[in-house]
Amino acid sequence: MTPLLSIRALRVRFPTPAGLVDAVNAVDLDVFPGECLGVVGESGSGKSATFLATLGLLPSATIRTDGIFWKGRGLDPDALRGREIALTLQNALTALNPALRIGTQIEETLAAHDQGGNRRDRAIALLRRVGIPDPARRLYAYPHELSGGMRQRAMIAIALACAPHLLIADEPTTALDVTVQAQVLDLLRTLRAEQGMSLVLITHNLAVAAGNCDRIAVMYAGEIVETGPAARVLTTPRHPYTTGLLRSHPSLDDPEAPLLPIPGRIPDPGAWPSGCRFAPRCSRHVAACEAPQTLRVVPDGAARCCQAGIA
Amino acid sequence: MTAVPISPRVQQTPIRAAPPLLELAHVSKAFPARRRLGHRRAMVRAVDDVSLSIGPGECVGLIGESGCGKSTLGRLSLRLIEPTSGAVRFGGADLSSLNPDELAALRPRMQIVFQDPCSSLNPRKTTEQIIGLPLAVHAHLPRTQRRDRVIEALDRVGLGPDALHRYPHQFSGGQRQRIGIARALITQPALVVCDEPVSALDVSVQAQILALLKQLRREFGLAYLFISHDIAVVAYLAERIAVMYLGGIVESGPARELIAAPRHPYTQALLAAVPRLHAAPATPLAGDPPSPLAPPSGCAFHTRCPVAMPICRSVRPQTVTDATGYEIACHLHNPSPA
Repeated sequence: MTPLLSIRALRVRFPTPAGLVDAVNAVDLDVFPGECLGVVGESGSGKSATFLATLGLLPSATIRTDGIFWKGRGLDPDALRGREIALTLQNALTALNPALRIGTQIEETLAAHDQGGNRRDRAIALLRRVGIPDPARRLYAYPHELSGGMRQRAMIAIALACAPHLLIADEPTTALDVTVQAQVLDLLRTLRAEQGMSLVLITHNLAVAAGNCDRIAVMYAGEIVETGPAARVLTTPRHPYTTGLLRSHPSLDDPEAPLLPIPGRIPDPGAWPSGCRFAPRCSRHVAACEAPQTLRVVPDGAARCCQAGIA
Repeated sequence: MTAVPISPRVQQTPIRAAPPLLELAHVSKAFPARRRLGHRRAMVRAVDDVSLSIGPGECVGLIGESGCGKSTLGRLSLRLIEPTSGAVRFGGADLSSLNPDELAALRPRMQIVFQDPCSSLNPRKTTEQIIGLPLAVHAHLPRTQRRDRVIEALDRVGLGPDALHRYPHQFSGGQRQRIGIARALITQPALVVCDEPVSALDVSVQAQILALLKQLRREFGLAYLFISHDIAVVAYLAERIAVMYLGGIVESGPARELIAAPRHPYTQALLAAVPRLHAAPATPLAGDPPSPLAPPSGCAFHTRCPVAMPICRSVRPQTVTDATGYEIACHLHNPSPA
C-alpha cells in the first residue's frame, strides 16, 4: 500500500543565540490511508516540530530532508495544508482568533479553499458534526465563551472544513479534564470511522495513544526510538526508553505497583550525547552504545537500540 | 446496596484509633464572582459543606476536575484563606480561633507544595535562600546552621550541595519541584498539602517525584493531603480517596476499594474516562461540568448522571457513612431519602 504521507530523513534545526540547535534528527515516518499513528514523547522530544516542519510551518528553522511525499509525490505543503492535510493545536484558546466569532473562523477557512455552497449552512453542519449543541447559535460565540472541550471541538470543526485525508492532532486533549478528554477522543474515533480519514495523534500520554492508535512511534531527544503496532509496543517494548516510560506510568489496574522511574533527565537540545542519545540514562548500557544508533528492524517494527534484536 | 446499617454522618462519625491530625467540619467557602453591569454580585460556592479528616501519617487523595474546589479546600486546610463557615482543626486546635502568634507557632507543622514550581519559587533568590527562609522565620537559626540544614534537605530530595547558590531558572522542572519539596520539609512538618505537585511534569520526571514523595512519607511519617486531577497518580500514593464534584465531596473511602468498586455514578464515570494502557476506551460521560456560579438544584451531578432519578433534581443527597467509614452522597445509596 502506498503511504499517504512519507517523511524521509527529516532534520530540523532551530537558530538560537548559541547557533543552530538540533530539534529533530533522522526521522523516517509513514502514515498509511485510514490508520491512526500515535507519536508519543516527552516535552522537547521533537514530536510537534516534526509535523510543523512537514507542513511548512517553521519558517525560521533549517530543514533538511531526503524527501517528504504525499500519496507518492513530492509534498507541496502550501497547496495541501488546510485542504488535504489539516492540523489542530494543543491550546485552542491561543490557536483560535479571540476577536472573531467561531462561525467567521469556519467560513474563513471554507472561503480560503474556495468551497462552494452556502458557507453558513456548511459551518452549522460542521459544528453539528463535532457534537457542539445548538450549532446555529454557537456560530456567533467568541472562543472565550466556549468551554475548553467545546473550543477543541470548534478547532476540529475548522480542521474538517475541507474534508482532509489526514488530520494531525497535536496534543488535542492535554489541557482538558479527563471526562472531556474522553469525549474529544471519542469524537476523533467516530470521525475517523465515518470519513476513513487518517489521523496522527501527537501526545505525551502513552495511554491516550494506546486506546486510539493502530501504530505508535516513540520519540526521544529528537529521534524516533521505536515504532510498531500499538499492542506490540505496549506489551513487548523493544527500546529501553519505551520500557522506562511504561514503568513510569501509574496504573489504575494495579495502583500500588511500584513505579520504576528512568534515572536522570532528558539532555538539553544541542547537548545530545554523541552516541545513543538514551545511553546515559539506560540500565542496559554497553560499550556499543557509545556509537550513534540507527533504527533496526525488529519483528513487528523497528527500534534504535543496539540490543533491540537480542531482547 | 449494602447490608451494614447506614446512618447520616451528622449522627455518627466513624471511630478512629488516633485523633485526626487535620479535621475539616462542614467547611464552606464562597468567593464573590466578578460583578457584571446590571447584575447583583453573585457568590461562587467553591467549597460547599465539606467534612474531611486526615490521621497522623495518613495520605488522603483528593480528586476532581478543574473548578471543583479541590485547591480551595487545600488552602482552607492550612488557613491560607478563611472559611465562610465551618471549622478547620489542626492537632485539635481550631485554626480560626488562634491569634497570629499561635498560628505562626503551628505553621512549621503544616506545609504546602504547589503545582507550578516555576511561579512558587522566588526567581531572585538562590536555592539556599529559598529553602532556608522557613528556618529563618520559624526557627531563628543562625546562617551557618541553616546552611547545614539546607544541604541536608537538598540531599534528601536528591540534589547535591552545588545547587545551593543557583537560581530557580537554572534548574529543570523536576529539579525545581524537588526544591519546593525540600522547602516544605525543612521545618519537619506533620502535614504537607500537595497541590497538583506532578501535573506540570513529564511522565518520566513525574514518576521520579512520586517515588520521592512516597519515600519521604515513609521516612518521616508525613501526612499528605494529595490533590490531583490524575486518579492514577492519587491511587499510587493515597490510602484514602475523596472525590469532589462542584464544591462537594461525593464519595470517600479506602483507595483500593474506591478504585476497584466506585459507588457514586460520577466516580464511576471519572474512572471509566481514564485512558488505560491495556483496555479499550469506554463510552464517555456527556456534557461539561456545570458552572459553579449556577450550580444545578438537588444533586449537583444530576445534569450529567446516566442514572438520575426524579428526586435527584430536587433534593440534595445527604452524605451517609457506613460502619467502615465509607462515605457517599447519592440517592441511589441512601435508603431513606430526605
